[in-house]
Amino acid sequence: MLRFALRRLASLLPLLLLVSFGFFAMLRLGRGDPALDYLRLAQIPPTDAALALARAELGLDRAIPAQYLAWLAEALRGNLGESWFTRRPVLEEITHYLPATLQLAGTAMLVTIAFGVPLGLWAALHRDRWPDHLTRAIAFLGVSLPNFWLGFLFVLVFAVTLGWLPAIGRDGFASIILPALATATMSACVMLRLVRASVLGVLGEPHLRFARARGLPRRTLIGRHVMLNALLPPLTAIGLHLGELMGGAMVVESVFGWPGLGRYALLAIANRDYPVLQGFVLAMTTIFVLCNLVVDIAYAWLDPRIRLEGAA
Amino acid sequence: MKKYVIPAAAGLVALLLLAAAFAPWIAPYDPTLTELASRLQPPSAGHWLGTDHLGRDMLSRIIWGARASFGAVAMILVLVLTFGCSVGMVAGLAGGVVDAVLMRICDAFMTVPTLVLALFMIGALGTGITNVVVAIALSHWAWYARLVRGVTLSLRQRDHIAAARIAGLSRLAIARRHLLPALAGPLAVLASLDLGHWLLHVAGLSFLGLGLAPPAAEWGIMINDARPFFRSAPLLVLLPGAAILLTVLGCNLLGDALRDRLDPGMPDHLH
Amino acid sequence: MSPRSLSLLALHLHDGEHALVRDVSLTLRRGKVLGLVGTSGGGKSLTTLAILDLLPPGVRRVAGLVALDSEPVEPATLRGRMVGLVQQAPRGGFNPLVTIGRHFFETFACDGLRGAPAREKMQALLAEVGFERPGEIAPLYPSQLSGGMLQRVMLALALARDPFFLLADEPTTDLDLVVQARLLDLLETLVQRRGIGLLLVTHDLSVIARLADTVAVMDQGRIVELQSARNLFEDPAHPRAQALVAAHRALYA
Repeated sequence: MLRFALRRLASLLPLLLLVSFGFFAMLRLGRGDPALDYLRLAQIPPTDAALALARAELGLDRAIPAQYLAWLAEALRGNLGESWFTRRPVLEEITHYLPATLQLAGTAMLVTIAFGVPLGLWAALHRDRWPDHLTRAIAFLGVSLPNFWLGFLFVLVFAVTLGWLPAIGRDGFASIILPALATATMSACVMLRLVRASVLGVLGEPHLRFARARGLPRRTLIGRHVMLNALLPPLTAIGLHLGELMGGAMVVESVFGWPGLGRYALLAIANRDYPVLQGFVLAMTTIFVLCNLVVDIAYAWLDPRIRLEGAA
Repeated sequence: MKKYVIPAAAGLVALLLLAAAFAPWIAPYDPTLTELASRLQPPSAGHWLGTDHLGRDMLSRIIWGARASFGAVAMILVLVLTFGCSVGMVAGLAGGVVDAVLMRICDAFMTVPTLVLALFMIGALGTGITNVVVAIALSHWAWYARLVRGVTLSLRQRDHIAAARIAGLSRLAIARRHLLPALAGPLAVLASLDLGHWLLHVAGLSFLGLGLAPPAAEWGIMINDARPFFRSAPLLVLLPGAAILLTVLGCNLLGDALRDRLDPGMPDHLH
Repeated sequence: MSPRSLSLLALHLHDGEHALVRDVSLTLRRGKVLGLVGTSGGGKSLTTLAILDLLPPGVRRVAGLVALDSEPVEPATLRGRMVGLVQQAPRGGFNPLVTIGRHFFETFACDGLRGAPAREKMQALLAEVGFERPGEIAPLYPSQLSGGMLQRVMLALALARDPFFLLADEPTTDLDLVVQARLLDLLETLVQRRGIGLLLVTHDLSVIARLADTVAVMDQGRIVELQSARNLFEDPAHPRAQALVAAHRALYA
C-alpha cells in the first residue's frame, strides 16, 4: 500500500515539474515585455536604462530554461519571489488568502456529497418513477445555472428578502452557507447523476441477487452491497470535482466579497503581476494534484482488488 | 416527457441562434445607446424588458448578448476541434516518441483545473474576449486530443486502413478519407456536452471583467454592470442570468439527446 | 415447523411480449433430489428464481403459487431461512469489496447470531464444504479464491441459515472435472446428512445420472416430461428428452 502511494507520488513529480515549466514559459512567451510590466507596477518610468536594469535584475536576459532553473531553485527553498505590485513575498500572500478559498471549496465539496449521494441513490432506487424524473430535471437545471448568478439569486432571496443569512463577508458559519451552495450546485448535480448511474450498475450485479437470496434485510443490502460498491466510481470523480469547485469558488468569491484567492488572482491578472500568477497557478495545481493523489490512494485502499494486487 | 422536451430545447436553441445571427436587424434599439432620461425603467410597450442604469434597452442588449456568447463559443469550438484533432491524429498516426511526448503534454494540461488554467492564460495573454476564447480553448483541447488519438489508434488496426496504406495512400489522404468520418460521431457528442460548459465559462470570465469590455452587450458583463442596482432593480441581474440559463439548458438537453442517439454507451450527463 | 415439501404450482412468467415460462409445477421433497434439465434459454433459471421471487427486472410472474406442505407462502419470506440458493458462476455471487467472513456474519445476523457462536458456526460450515483450515478463508476477499473454492463457499453460505431446501442453478458449470465431482459428492452428502430437498438445475445429464431421484425436462418454457431418473434414461417419452438422452449417450457411451 505504501509502495503504491510512493509510486503514484513519484509519477506525479515529473508531471508537476513539466507543468510548472509550462507555466513559466507561457508567461515569458506571452504578450509583451515582462520588464515593461515590472517597471509599470513599480511606477518607474520605462527609460532604456531602467529597462536594461530591470531585465538584468529579473534575469530576463538569460535563456528561458536557465531562468526557469533559477526560479525552481528558489521555489524549492520556499521562495516564490515577490509580488511586483505589493512588493511582498508571494508565498506569504498566497498562504494568507488560500485558507478562505479552500474553506469555501471544501465546504462546497461536502455540500456536493451531501446532496449528490442521497439524491442519486433515491433516483436510482426509483428508476423511471417520479423521484427519478424530478432529480433528472433538477440535475439538468443545476448544471445549466451560472454559479455567480445563482449567488445573486440566493442573496436576493435569503439575504435581502428573508433576511436569514448575511449577503457578504466571511464571518462565521452563517456566512459560508450561501457561497458554498452557489459554488456546489453544479458539482452536486453532476454527482447526483454519477451516483445514480453507478447505483443502477450495481443493482444489476449478480452479487446482489445472491445477497437477497440469503434473506439479508434491506438495510444491509443497500448499505453494504449497493452503496459501498456504487460509491467507488463517483469517488474518483471527487478529485475532478474539486478542480471545478476551486475554479468556481474564484468566481463566486467575487459575488459574496469572500476574501479568498480569487480577488488576489484577479488583481494579478489585471496587473500582469508575473510572480503572483506563477505562484497562484502552481499552488492551485499542487493542491489539485495532491487531492487526486489522496483520492487514488483511498480508492486503492477501499478496493481490495487493487490493494492486494499492489501488495503482491 | 422526452417527446416534448427535446423539440422545445431545439426550438429554443434555434431561436437564440437566429437572434444571435440577426441581432442587428432584430434588436429594437442600439444596445449601447444610452438615454439617461429613461434609465431603470420597468418593462413597458416601448422597452419590453425595461432599461438599465444607463437607459439602454434590455431586450436589445440581451439579443446582442446572444451574439457575443454564441460567437465566443463558436470560436472556442473551432479552436478546440482543430487543435485537438491535429494533435490527436499526429500522436495516433506517428506513434513512438512523438506520441509519448504529445500525450505527456496533454497530461500536463489536464493536471490543472480548467477554470484556473483559463485564469492563468488570461494573465499570460492579457484580458479581452479573444484571449478569453483562446484561454478556454487551451484549457480544454487536451481531452479532444486524447479522444482523437484513441479513435485513430483503434482505426489503425483495422483492415481497410491497412489496405489503403498498402495501396499507397498518403497519411493525409487516409486521415481525410477514413479518420474524419469515424471521428465525427464521438467528437459531436463530446463537443455538444461541452458547449454549455463553455458558455458558462465565457459568462463567468466576462462577469469577472476579463472578457469583453463595457459598454459591450454580453450577459456576464450585464450582470456585473448591474451589481450596484441589484437590490433596487433586480431584473437587471435576473434577465441576463435567465438568458444564460436558458441557453445552457437548451444546449445541454440537445447534447444529451444527441448522445443518446449516437452513443448510448457514453457515461451519463456531463463527463 | 419443519416442512416436508416445497411446491411450485402453475407458474407463468412473462416479459411483456412473450410467455417465458408456461404452467410449470414442481415439488421438492426433503431428502430427495429433483433434477431440472433442458437447453439453455428454456426457462430453467427463471423458474428457479421465481421460487424466491428473485426475477430479473422486466420479467413478471403472471400466475403461480409457492407452497410449503401445500400451504401457500409469500416467496420472498423463504429466502435463506427456508430455501438456500446456489448460483452458477460463483465469482459474481460475492461482493468483491467484502471479505468472505463478513458475508457469513451478515447472513448469521439475520437470525441474531453474532460473536463467537457465529465464528464457530462459520468454521463448521466451511469445514462441512471441505475446507481443511476454515480459519484462513474468512479474512480473504473473493478475488483471492479460485472458482471452485468460491462455489464451495457459496454452498456454505446458502446453508448458513440451515434451510430445508436448496436450489442449485448449474452449480458445476465453469468448474473443472475434478472439482465438479467433488462438489457433487458434497451435495449428495448434504442431502443425506441434513435431509435437504435439492433442486438441481443443469443442462448436463451426467450430473443428473449421478444425483437425481426424479427428473423434470423443460423445453421452451414448459415441462415436457417428469419421471424417475432411471426411467428417463431407459425410456424417454418426449422427443426433447429423447434428444437429450441420445446426446448424453453419444458423449459417454
